[in-house]
Amino acid sequence: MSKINSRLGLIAEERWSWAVWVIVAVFGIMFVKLWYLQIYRGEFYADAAKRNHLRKIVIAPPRGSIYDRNGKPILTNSDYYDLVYVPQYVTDKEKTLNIISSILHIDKGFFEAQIERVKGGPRFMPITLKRNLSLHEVSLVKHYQIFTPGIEVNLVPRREYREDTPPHLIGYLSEIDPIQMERLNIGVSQDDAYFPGDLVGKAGLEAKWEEALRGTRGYKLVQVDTFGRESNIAGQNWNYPTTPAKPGNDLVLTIDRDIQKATNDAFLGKNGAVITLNPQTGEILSMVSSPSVGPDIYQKGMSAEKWRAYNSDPFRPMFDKTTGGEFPPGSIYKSVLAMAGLQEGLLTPEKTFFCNGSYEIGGQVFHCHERKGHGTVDLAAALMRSCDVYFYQTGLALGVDRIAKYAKALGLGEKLGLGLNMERPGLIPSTQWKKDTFKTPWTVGETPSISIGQGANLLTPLQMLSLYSTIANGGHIWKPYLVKRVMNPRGKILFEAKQEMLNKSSEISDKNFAIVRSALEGVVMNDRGTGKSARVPGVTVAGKTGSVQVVSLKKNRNQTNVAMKWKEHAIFAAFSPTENAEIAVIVVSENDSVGGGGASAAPVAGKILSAYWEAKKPKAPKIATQVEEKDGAR
Amino acid sequence: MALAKVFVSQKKNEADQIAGSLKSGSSKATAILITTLVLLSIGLGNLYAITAYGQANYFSGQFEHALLGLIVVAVIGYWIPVRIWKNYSFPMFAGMVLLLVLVDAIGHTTMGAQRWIGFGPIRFQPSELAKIVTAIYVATFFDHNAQSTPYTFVDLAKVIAGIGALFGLIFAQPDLGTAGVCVLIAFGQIAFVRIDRKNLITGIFFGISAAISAWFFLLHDYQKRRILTLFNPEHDRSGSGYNAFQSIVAIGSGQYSGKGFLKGSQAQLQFLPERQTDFIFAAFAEEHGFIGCAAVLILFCTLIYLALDVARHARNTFSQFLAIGIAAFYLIEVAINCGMVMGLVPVVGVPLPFFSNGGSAMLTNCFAIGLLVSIDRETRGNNKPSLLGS
Repeated sequence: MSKINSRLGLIAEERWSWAVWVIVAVFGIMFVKLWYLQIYRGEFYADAAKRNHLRKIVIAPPRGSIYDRNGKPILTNSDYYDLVYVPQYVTDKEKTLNIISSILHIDKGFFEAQIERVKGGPRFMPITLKRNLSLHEVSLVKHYQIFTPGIEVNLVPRREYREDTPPHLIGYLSEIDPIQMERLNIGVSQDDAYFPGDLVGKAGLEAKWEEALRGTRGYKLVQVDTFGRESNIAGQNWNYPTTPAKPGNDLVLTIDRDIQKATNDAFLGKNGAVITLNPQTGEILSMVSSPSVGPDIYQKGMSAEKWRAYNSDPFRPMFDKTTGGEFPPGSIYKSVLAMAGLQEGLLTPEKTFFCNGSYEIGGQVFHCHERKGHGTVDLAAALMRSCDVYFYQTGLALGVDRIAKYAKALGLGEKLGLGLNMERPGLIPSTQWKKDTFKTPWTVGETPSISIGQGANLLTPLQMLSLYSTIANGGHIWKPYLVKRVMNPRGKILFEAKQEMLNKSSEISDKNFAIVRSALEGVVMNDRGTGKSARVPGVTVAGKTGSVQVVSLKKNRNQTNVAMKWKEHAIFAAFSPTENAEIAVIVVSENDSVGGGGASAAPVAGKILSAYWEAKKPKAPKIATQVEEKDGAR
Repeated sequence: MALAKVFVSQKKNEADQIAGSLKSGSSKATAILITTLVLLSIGLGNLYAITAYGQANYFSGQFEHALLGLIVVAVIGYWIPVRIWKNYSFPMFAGMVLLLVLVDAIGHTTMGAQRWIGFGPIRFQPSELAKIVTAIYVATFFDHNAQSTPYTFVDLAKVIAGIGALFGLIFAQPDLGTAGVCVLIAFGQIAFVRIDRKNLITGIFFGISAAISAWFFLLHDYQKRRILTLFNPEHDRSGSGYNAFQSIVAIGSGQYSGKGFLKGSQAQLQFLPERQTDFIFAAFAEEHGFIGCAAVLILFCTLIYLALDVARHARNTFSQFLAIGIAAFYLIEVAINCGMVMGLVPVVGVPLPFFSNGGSAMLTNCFAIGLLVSIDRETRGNNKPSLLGS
């Protein structure tokens, strides 16, 4: 046996124990390694395995909806399909993009640009390659999905823009840019942080109320196999927690959808801005800036050409003129002069001036728009027929600084605080302003121009409207507002707007407001008034027309053969009824092709006002009356 | 360590033990068979678990292979006397060379390698059986060429040439794993004899030179990559390091007691590559944890120790060297396969005995068990074959 072998010297005796040592060493090493992997580092690898087969899928929250004051939807959401790319699961980027590019007929470079844009992000983060796929495209992508691991179709709620969604008011959404993202993500938890590719409000209410509308994204954990396919192994009850997305909060606006529509319809074909509001509260009822770019165009993505075209359009469709457009107010500014004159005792309702068609001061001739002259005019006639000579003299008597004082008392020359889009303060000239800006003193020759709202005067349409609503309510400057309340998706009210008074013009007496109001009523209600085309049967309307010369046109006063951009702005401001007005309206028609304020802007206001009263009259629902009474009581 | 002491003490009481085993009839064969059955059952259960939800169900096929394997154990162990293998050693070796040449010429291709050969409906992988043929061939060599002086390379030239031929043919398929196992089995057997010191040093020098030239001229790129990723498996998780990394994640995530039967996400969700063959131990480790792995490793260790014990007490040189070869065979397969899934050894295609799916490997393992039983019975003198005579 072994002894024989040992004797032969064939098997070295010590080799048996060597063999045992080898076995002990081999198994010892394996035990140590097993201990290291399973016990010492076990938790790490257990976590790695979990990350391996569990994928965190982001559930996009639906953005809050926007309703009008009566609960009618203005902006809601519907589901859209997005094409996304998950780097983690892509095996061959080139091949994948080639397939996707050929089935969707989109240049591969487009996708590469999308991926490049968010380079450096976590590999599990899906990158949106294309938004809003058609159902046909979805089926194509799904069909080729086995060849394109890492390409997925995500269902996301997105804005459903209605035809009557007011573009500038609502604003638009766009992918967040890196700088904005960095700014917004400071001190924000991972769950609330913005990710590249997130949509964010860029203008209008979407931007101003971004925080309320946005919602909180949710997550779900999905079990996937090695190919990134969602897998559900039979018999396995592995339940993973899901964090549902919290939809954004809803906004209830002060806007009335019907008035908004009437406003839009009445202003159709014109450029400029129209706003209506309740002069007793400051609630904005409708708001239109024209022309406009539909928010869906931003959502679909705008080509560079289109962007240039919109940018070079002289009427600036992307610009909100209601708060940001600054125009010389023209003759509607005469009300300010009238009240200042009355208050300063320079004017009385009975005091008359003689208008022979022009007024001369220091050798400089200022014409009245009525070249033949108005003859003898008192205050009511001067406003009714918009006599320039009357107000040249009033203005000269007041002086620029006293005009500025009353203008500022009426809330002009500074922002009203609506905070929507790019609100501008306008400009009320004064001697100090002239000195600060031009380093030259004010000359008396400049005063007549500003007395009739031309010259350096600038008001935004919202300021013009605020001026007339202040006249209508006897001196209260209400802060205009758009959002009545914010509700969470279950209807709990999170924020309720209260009307806020910016100032009460104590400089001007109630009596003087009343005098001007009745004079303004004459503008519309008197047959000789310039604004008679704004009449509405059954109610009183008070208003003032304005026609602003863009350039001095001495030879061609009829404005035929004048390039569009040199035409007059037609302006009309009104409120109705004259006492305890419920609605005030401003119409600013830029470079109007029809004619002045009376001919072109007043009919627009008339249509809007009659739509307002028409809507109230026939149905007369009880709730509406109650609201009316309440408003009246306030 | 304890194991070594036990062994040494066993050596001292050698005579008593031999006498005891002869008298009592309680044999190592019984222990070997029990260990084998336990390993086989665990292996089959594990194979069932990992492919239960997969597209292919390997369990029923492997179950048939196992039944066939038990018949092989019975036939080899209790019917065919050991010396038959010695007598037919050369024809077996020649037949194996012929089969391997056939495989290279007409064999089926899987995973970029020709390893299979078909006999009608049966497909067979001759390279698996080559491992046992190697052990028999080397054992026969030492039986015929016993000498009391240390062996020189000239003395060993014949056996080195024979093993070199097998290695070359299997490597040409190409199947580095199996070719390597054959060489290591032979090496394990040769390690038990004295080698001339000068020759040994020269041999080591030539071995290193051969390894270096193999790296540059013989190894495929994928094999080089696998060896390189061994040193940093987490470096390239999606390329050649992917398998190694997923395997380590599977083992590690089993932690102390495992995720439970049928609950291993790495294997069930197909993150684990080749989970029914080469990486089966990782799947087992994931579901049964450190405790399960330790139990299986102890069983394998026991089996190898028993094989070595059978060798030590074998009656003649052939039996002794054959049993050594079989012990080496199990040690090498377990060490390479388990070491590979744990990231200790490069990824090479070596199955885990009784665990990995595959008929050829199962039959080869059972063949080896049968040989051990046969040698043990020969040692105890109750080898009474009924047909072939003694």
